[in-house]
Amino acid sequence: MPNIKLQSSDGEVFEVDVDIAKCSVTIKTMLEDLGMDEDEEEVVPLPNVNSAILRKVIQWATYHKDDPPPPEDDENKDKRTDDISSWDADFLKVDQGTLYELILAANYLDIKGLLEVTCKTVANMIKGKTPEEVRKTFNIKNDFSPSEEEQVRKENEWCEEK
Amino acid sequence: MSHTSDSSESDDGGDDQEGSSFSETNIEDALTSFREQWQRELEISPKRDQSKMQSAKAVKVDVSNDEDSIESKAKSLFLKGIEYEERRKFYEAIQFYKRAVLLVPDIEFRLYESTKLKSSDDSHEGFNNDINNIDDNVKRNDEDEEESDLFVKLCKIVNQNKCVCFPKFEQTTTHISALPMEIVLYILRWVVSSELDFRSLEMFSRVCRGFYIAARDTEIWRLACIRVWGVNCGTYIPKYQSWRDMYIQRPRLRYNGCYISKTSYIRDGENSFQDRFYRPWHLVEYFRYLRFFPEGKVLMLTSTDEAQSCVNSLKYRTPRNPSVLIGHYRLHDNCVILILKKQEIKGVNTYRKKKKETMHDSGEQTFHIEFEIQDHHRRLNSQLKWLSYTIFTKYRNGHEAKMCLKEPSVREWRVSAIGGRYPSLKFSRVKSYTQESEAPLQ
Repeated sequence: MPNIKLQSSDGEVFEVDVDIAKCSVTIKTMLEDLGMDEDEEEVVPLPNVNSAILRKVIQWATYHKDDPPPPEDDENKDKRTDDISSWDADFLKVDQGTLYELILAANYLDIKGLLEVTCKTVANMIKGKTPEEVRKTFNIKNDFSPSEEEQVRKENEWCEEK
Repeated sequence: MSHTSDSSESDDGGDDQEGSSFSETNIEDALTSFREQWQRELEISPKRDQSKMQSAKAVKVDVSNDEDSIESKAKSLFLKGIEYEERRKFYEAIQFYKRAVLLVPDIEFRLYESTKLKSSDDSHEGFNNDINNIDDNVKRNDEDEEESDLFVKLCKIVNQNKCVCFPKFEQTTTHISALPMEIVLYILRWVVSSELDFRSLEMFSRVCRGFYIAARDTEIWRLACIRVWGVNCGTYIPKYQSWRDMYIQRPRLRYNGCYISKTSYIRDGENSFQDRFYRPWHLVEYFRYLRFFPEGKVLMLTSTDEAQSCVNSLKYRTPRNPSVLIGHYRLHDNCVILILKKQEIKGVNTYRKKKKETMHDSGEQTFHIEFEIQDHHRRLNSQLKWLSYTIFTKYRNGHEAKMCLKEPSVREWRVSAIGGRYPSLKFSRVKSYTQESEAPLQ
């Protein structure tokens, strides 16, 4: 298997199997458009991803390299196994900062599966929480004026009870 | 110290009157030391309001040198801490931070303020200037308040902010505000999920201005309407003001819980052989549970078991409890029609069952139920009133039977007056149903 060199924002170079690197649509198109396949000595710079995050992304991509490609129609998405999600759950036991950086990296590198699982993790941190609990969980400042806050509360009254 | 007298003149009057009968000098001494302490506390106190600030500012000019040197020492310690942290020497960094905070508890805040001042153009006014700036911002926002539409108004502000939210306390790691709006919206689709957990979304919108704008995204609400009423639901115009308005106002079912009713009736028991005066009867009580899923699936369970276990057995689309009926429903304005069947028994039992059935053919039953969706005590769509209930039985020999347990139309009033057998089902939310997201809203 041919390898490819990826350089993180802080200069570290990672040598990765081309097939693994290609789970990133960004890298895949880059290789195809620029015909970088042949020139193996070329280093692909990734200025938006630091080495700590790139290492994690590669770890994720390596584990998921044999996953079936995402189905074209989203109707039959029931086939996800519990096994994969439990590996992902362990993989995502990271601090919030790392989680957001993984989201940004997955978005930049266009890795659908990683973006899905990271955003799902954040979503589950939001679900079922009161506004104050969300603020506390994510360290967010309440910048509503009192009258704005009251107006929003009224708008949301329809689902208020219990 | 000279500063004590001019900063607290207003207090002097009252204090002097109270202390007139005592020795003047003693009180003067006590007062002076108290004032000194008070001012020191004022200087150190992290929560200053503006009025305190102004008096403190007058004092600050000739505040004793040691106070200044304490602060500058704390600042330099804190900066060293930052230096170490940048070099990833966290242990040393924490030592310096600790020492700095010990000297001046709000040193981080002060340092932050002073760096902010350097970057702004007119930096010589100190804290006051900064507070004025904040005031200006507030005023500008308040002027906009006349604008009737909260969404339009906050949209403008959030666009100017260039990020979705702000951290309340400073943090060194990446904050959620680093995520662009498009990703926040994608996360919200996971929050709402295929189960349409709009309660969580509405809670999210109350967190801060940016989250409010994100949670009012029309695409999310449009997708929800399509999921509830189908692709042919058309558009919200002219009956509703927006997709969100349609989702809230138009009659539909609720998905984040169960509709539950309790039926109780009295059944006569048999007389005992000896005692003919005693007439026994049984009070029969059972519960009926209905769980609806957005895409048209419905589960029904009638049981005498405790509520918790019944509710749990309706959590997933494919229930493990074999007595749960599975079916589909369809909405027609404020009516809902359900068609349910018993679960097919699979596996080991099939052979045995076939043997038995040759002796007794109980037939295949289909349950047809019609409800009217009603509001109950201002809670939208929270009550289901029975309209009709029919059981069709198809026997193996081709014979079909129909049994109306509750008939629609004319006789309905009479039945409900006698009945109590079919009380309305009331909705109650089940938190565990919306605890985790399985799939995003699409």
